[in-house]
Formats: sequence, C-alpha cells, structure tokens
Amino acid sequence: MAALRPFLLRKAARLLLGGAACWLLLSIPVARAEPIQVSVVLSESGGAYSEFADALRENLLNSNVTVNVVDANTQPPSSSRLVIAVGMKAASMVAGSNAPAVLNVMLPQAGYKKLLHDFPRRENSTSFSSIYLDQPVERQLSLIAAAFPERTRIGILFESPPPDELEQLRQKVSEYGFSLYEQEVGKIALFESLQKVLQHSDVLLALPTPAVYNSSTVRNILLSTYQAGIPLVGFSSSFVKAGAMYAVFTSPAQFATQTAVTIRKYIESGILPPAQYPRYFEVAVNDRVAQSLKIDIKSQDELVRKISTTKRQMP
Amino acid sequence: MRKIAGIRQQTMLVALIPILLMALLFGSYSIYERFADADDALFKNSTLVSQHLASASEYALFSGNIGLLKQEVKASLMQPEVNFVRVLDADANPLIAERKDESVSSAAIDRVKANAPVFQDNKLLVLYAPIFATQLSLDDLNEGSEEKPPKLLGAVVIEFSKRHLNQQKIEMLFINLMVMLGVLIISLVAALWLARRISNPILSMGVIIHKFGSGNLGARIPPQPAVRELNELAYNINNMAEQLAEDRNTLEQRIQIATQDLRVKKEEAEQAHLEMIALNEKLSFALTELETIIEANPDLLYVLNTQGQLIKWNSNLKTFFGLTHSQLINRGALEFFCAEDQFNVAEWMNEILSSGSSTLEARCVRHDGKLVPYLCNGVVLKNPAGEVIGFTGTGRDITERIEAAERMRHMAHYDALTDLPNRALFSDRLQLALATANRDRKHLALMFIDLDKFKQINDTLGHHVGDLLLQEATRRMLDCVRESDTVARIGGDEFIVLLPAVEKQEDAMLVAEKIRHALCQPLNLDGNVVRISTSIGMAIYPKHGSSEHELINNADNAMYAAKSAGRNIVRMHGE
Repeated sequence: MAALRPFLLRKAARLLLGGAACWLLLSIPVARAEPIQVSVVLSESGGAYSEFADALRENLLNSNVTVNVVDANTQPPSSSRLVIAVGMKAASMVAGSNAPAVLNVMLPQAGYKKLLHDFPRRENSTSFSSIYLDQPVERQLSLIAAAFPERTRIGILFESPPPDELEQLRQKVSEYGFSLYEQEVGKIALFESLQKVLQHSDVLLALPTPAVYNSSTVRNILLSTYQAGIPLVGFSSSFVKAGAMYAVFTSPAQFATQTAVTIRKYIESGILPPAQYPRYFEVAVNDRVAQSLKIDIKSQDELVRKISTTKRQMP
Repeated sequence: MRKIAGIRQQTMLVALIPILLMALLFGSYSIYERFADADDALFKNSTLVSQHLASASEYALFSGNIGLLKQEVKASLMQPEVNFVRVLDADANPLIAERKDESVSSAAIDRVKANAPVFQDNKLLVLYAPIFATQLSLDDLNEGSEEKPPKLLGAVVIEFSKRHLNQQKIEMLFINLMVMLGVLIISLVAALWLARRISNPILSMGVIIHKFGSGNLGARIPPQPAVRELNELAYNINNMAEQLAEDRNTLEQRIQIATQDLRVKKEEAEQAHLEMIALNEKLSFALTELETIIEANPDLLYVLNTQGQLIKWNSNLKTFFGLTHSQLINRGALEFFCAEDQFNVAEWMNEILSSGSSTLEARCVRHDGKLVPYLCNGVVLKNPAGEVIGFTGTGRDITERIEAAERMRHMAHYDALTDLPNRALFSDRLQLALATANRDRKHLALMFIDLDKFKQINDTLGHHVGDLLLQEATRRMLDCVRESDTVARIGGDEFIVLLPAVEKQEDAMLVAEKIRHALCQPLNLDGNVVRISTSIGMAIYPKHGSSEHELINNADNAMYAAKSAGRNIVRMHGE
C-alpha cells in the first residue's frame, strides 16, 4: 500500500493575496444596517461539503453575513440574498429555483456548462456564477514542468466528445515546451489505448473524464503506468492516494476562503464575478510511487511556489 | 434369583462408566470439531486460493494478457488440493482451463456459477470467484460514488480435491480412536487397580467376618493402609470381634454357671418332686386317715368359719342333727344348741377366735329334740398368711360322764341302801335350815330316830332282810313328812329328821308320833312279818340349841332318854 503523506500548506500566495484581500475588505467601513442572509446548499451532508460549510462560516464570522446551511433536498429560504450551491447536485437544484443570486462552488467546469445549457436564464447573468472544482490546465502544466523538468511528452486519454480541457491543453502545451500525445478511448479498448499512450509519453496527465478514469479502471491504469514506468498526474488528492504520483487540487477550506471573498464582493457590488477556477491550491505527492518509479520528488512547498510563480508569469 | 454383582465389578463400573462416557463424549466432540475445523480450513484455504487467483487475474484480464493469466493459473495449480482451474471472461466465456492431470474430470466444474458459487461433495469442492476491478476512489468529493457498481471482469472457477482432507480425517479418526483406546486401556487398568484396592480389603474383611460368623472370633483383619475408611473399618471390626469374644466368654461362663445352677435346681426339683409325690401319698394317706379318723371319731367334728357358720363336719354330726348336707352347710352354730346355752356358745366362739382355743359344755338339740350335753372344744384355723379363717373342734357326748358325776354326787350325799341324805348332806341342810330359821325367827325341829331291835332282826333274818327293813322303814318315814322336810340315815339303824319350819313344839311332836306309829306297824319283809319299834329324841331350835352340834347332841340325848324309858316313845329334850 502506498504510504501517503497528504500535505496541506498555507501557501505564501494565499497568505499574501487572500489575506491582504480580506484585510482590505474588512477595513472598508460597511453600513451594517441589517444582517445579510446567505444560504449554503450542500449536495451531501458530511465529508468535504461540511468541511466547506464550516470553513465558510468561520471565514464569515466577523461580518454581518449570516450563513444558513441546508442540504440539497431543502429549498433555501426565499429571504436569502445569495445562495451558495456546493457540488453538482446542489447546483442543479438551486439553478432551477427562484434564488435571485447563485454562486456555484466545487462543481466541474463541464457541469457548470451543462447547468447554463439547462437553465438558459442563468447565462450571462451577474447573479449566477461558479468557482470550478477543476484546476486550470496551466496549473497542471506548471506542475508537470516543475516536477518532471526532463519529461516533455504528455499523454492524454480521452473519450469522445473531447473535453474542454483538451482544447485548452492543445493551446497551452507548447507554451510550456511540452508535446501532447492524445488517444481517444472507445475506438480501441482502454488497455490498448493506454498502452499506446504510455508508449508515446513521459508522463500521463489524467483529465477528469469519468468514462476513462473511474474507480474501476484506475487500479489497472495505475498498474499499467507503473509497469511502463510512466508517472501519472491526477486531478485529486484521492487519485494520489490511489497511486498517482502528483495532483494539484484545492481543499474545501481553500474553496471556502475564495467563496467568502466572493460573497463579500457580491455584497459590496451586488454582482458576482464570472465563473472562475479555484484561486488557492495544494499539491499532493505520493512518495512511495515516486520511489517505485525511481523519480526524485520535489517538496510540495517548492512545487507550489514554482506553480504560483509560473502562473504569475503567465498572462 | 438375580445374580448380584460383586463389589469389584461395581467399583470398576463406577470408575469406568464416567471415564468411558467422557472419553466417548470428548472423542466424539474432538472428532466433530477437528473434522469441522479441517472442512473449514479447506474451505477457507480454497476461498483464499480462489480469491487470490481472482485478484491476481484482474490485471491479466484487464490487459487481456492470456500468458499472464496462464501463469497465474499454473501457480494456483501448484497448490496440492487444486485439481482444475477455469477462468471466465465478463460474459462467462471460458478463457482458459487448466487441470492438474488428465485424470481430472471437468464434470463438477460446470456445476458452479455466479449465483451458486459453491459446490461440494465428499471428494470435491468447487468454488466460483468473480473477478471485479478493484475499486479506488478518485473523487475527493465522493459524489455519486454509490451509483457505480464494481466492474465485473470475469471469474475463476477452481475445483479442489478433498483427497488430502479425507486422508487427514482418516488419520484424525485413527489417532482419536487410538487415544480413546489408550484412555480406555489406562482407565481399565486404573479402574481394575482401584477396584482391587477397594475390593480386596473388603473381600478379605468379608472372609474374616465369615470366620467370625463361623465362630472364630480370634481371627483379625490386618491393617488396610490403602483406604483410610477401610482401615478404620478393619480397626472397628477387630474391636467389635474382641468385644464379641469377650462377651461370648462372659456369656459362656454365665451359661455354664446357669447350667450348673439349673442342674442343681433340676435335681432339687426332681428331689422335691419325688418328695412331693411321697408327701402327696402321705398327704393322701393322711387325708384318708384323717377322713377315717374323722369319720371314726365318735364325737361330733365340725369346722366353722369366723361367722360361726358350719363348713365341714363328720357323719356323726350329720346323723346327730338329722340334717342333709345342704341344710348343714353354712348353718349358724348357735342353732345347734338349746336356747339357754346359746349365749354361752356365742361367748365360747368369741373366746376361741380371740384367744386361739376354748372349751365349753353345752347342750345340743338332737334331731329328736332331746338335749344332749356335749363338751365342745375349738381351735382357731389360720390360713398360710396367719389370718384366722375359722375354727375347728369336736363335741363329745358327756351324758354318761354327767350321769356318773351325778351318781357320785348322789352317792356322796345319799345313803346307798335307802337313798336318804347321809350325814354330810343332812349337815348341809341343817346349816341351811338354821340360817333360814335364824333369819325368819322361826323354829325348827330335829328328831333322832333309832330302830329298836334291828340288830336282832339283822342277825337272825340276815342282812338282806335287814336291808329290806331299812328300806321299808325309810318309805314309812318319808310318808310321814312333807316334801320340805329331810329324812337322813346317819348310821346303821339311826335316822334323823329335820323339820325346817315348825310353828310350835306340839306340831313337831305330832310328826314324831306319826313316825313312831308308822314304824311300829308290822312289816312284811320278803315273806317275814316282823315288828319293830322306834325310839325318837327331839330338840327344837332355838329352845334346845342354836348350833348343829348342840341340837344333834340334845336330840341324841333325848333319843337315848327315850330308849332308856322303855323304847317306842318320843322324848323331847329337857322333858
């Protein structure tokens, strides 16, 4: 079993940017006429969702915002000025409701697009926005660049239709000096597709496409990458626990921090910012896989710093 | 009769039965447990093997690597129990089938499937193990993870042989039976030893006790160190035997003494019996004798109770009173006596009962009413306790004796020839008459009469005629006096007449003259007619004397005076 060392770091970026922003916001005198009610609708109670809700409440402790947490089966009170829909299930429910302003948190970019498609009235609305669960492709590429400086061939498995990330990747790889090897699963069997990709890649980047990467396939995919000696970069801390070597991800607390900032901004301006990627992130590393593949690993702090720097350099 | 089991067998049974039951129980339980364990172990091991193969085959199936799959299957076939391995794909099509050797049939392996994953008989175990893709979560949010079932990649079916298991079971059974047999033998030996240890002392005690029973109280049970209680028992039995022996000796001695005593007593009793027989004979004889004596006794013999009632008598008595037995029995004694004597009789009877004996003369009333004087004596009768129960005695007819006494008395006071009072009786009467006359101030007259010529007649005509003369003279004198007067003969031909009460001297003289006259009349004496005369002297009290002697002397003198004066006259004293 792989011995994982999950590492949560409060990164300098967060401290500097997030902390400064909060301070800036808090220092602005706000007319606290009456408490502003914000409802948080959780897709499920417990786990990451509850962790998010608790962290959000903590972030909004010294404000005139009262947080009202309900689950996805309960309609948020109509008095709520803003509804935070956490997860896809909650987002689907709230999008269909009469909630005047909705901020969707921790849902995939693809899911948000589906919502806008399903509820067209929410499109182009300043009162309907999202903080994606997914990480921006630049951040993934920065991680690969920082972690595997000598590996330039990135393998991608996807299933038709190609995900949005693939297009973004195609656009960005060259900026980072990488080449991309794409293989569509479905035309041939997963194992053969995988073998092909592995033959033509130095590192396998997993995109959050459930048809390819799911709980049933991941073990054998990981076994195959291990046999091929190719490290896999996942998209969640769980993926790293399962056997991926690296993953860049955002914790519920980080989502909460970003959400709190967004709420304050909304209260201040009355508009929600456009849908965005999570601002804060962490890097998970599986030491044991790295050892097995005989790959030197970088420390998480270093990686986070490098990614952050890269991002800042990237326009 | 039902055969009674011995203590040895019973002790053995007592020791053996629980051991055997326990051995059987534990043996059975142990076999059951071991078999179950072995079955379980095989099943678990087989499950592990099949699961391992399923797990190991996952990647080979995922990757479609038949070579790898074969490798895994062959590895499984290396397991000794694995007979046959078949790997199916997700659609249950056989991908590969490998058997240990050609002898293995594939019949059983077709009998398992996804919904019936286990088949077994006593030779084979067939397991079906599905091959699922291992589930690993990728989603930090775990959103919607429940909806995805694990992906079935295929299945492995493995046939396991139970040959080794069955061999193992036979070995277990054999070992178990050996152990049980060992336990049985050990427990048999132990039970036998225990039984002997307990029963031997008891049996040997039994032999000794049997000896006691046969009378050999000298036998002793040796100490029994094996069992404490038995040792105590032996000790106590020995004590008991000692006590018994002691008691028996004492008893024998007592019996001996008693026997001796008994012998003596028997002899004494025999002696006593003989004596009693003799005594009885004597008694019988004595009784007969007594009866005879009683009957022969001329007297009246009687036995009376304390109430004075007649309870026994002789035939003389019966005859005397002329009564029957029933009339006599319990009749009061007083009734047999005349009324005048009854008071005395009652006194007499009281005297007997109080003082022991007494004698009485009383008159009994004979059957014809005659009173017969009897001299009755009586002696008390006592029972053996000394209580007075009555008295006995005899009554002797004393008629003759009384008559004789009367005669004697008469002879003493009367003259035998004339039956007139003699001088002594006359003296008494004179004394009495003197006392009376003196008291009454009366006179009495005393005459002295002498028959003249009597001697002459007596000498000439003989004493016989003399006696007749005296008797005739007496008769004539008595004719001349009153009843109250006394005529007495005081000598051969001398008579004296007392007239106790005379009014005057002349009256006395008249009587005297009358006598003189009567006597001078002729007498016919046995054919002899004779004539006599009398000389009569008279004295009067108190005129001629106050004492007997004085009066007799004076009358005598007067008679002699008359004689002198010519006889045949009456002469008053002093005239």
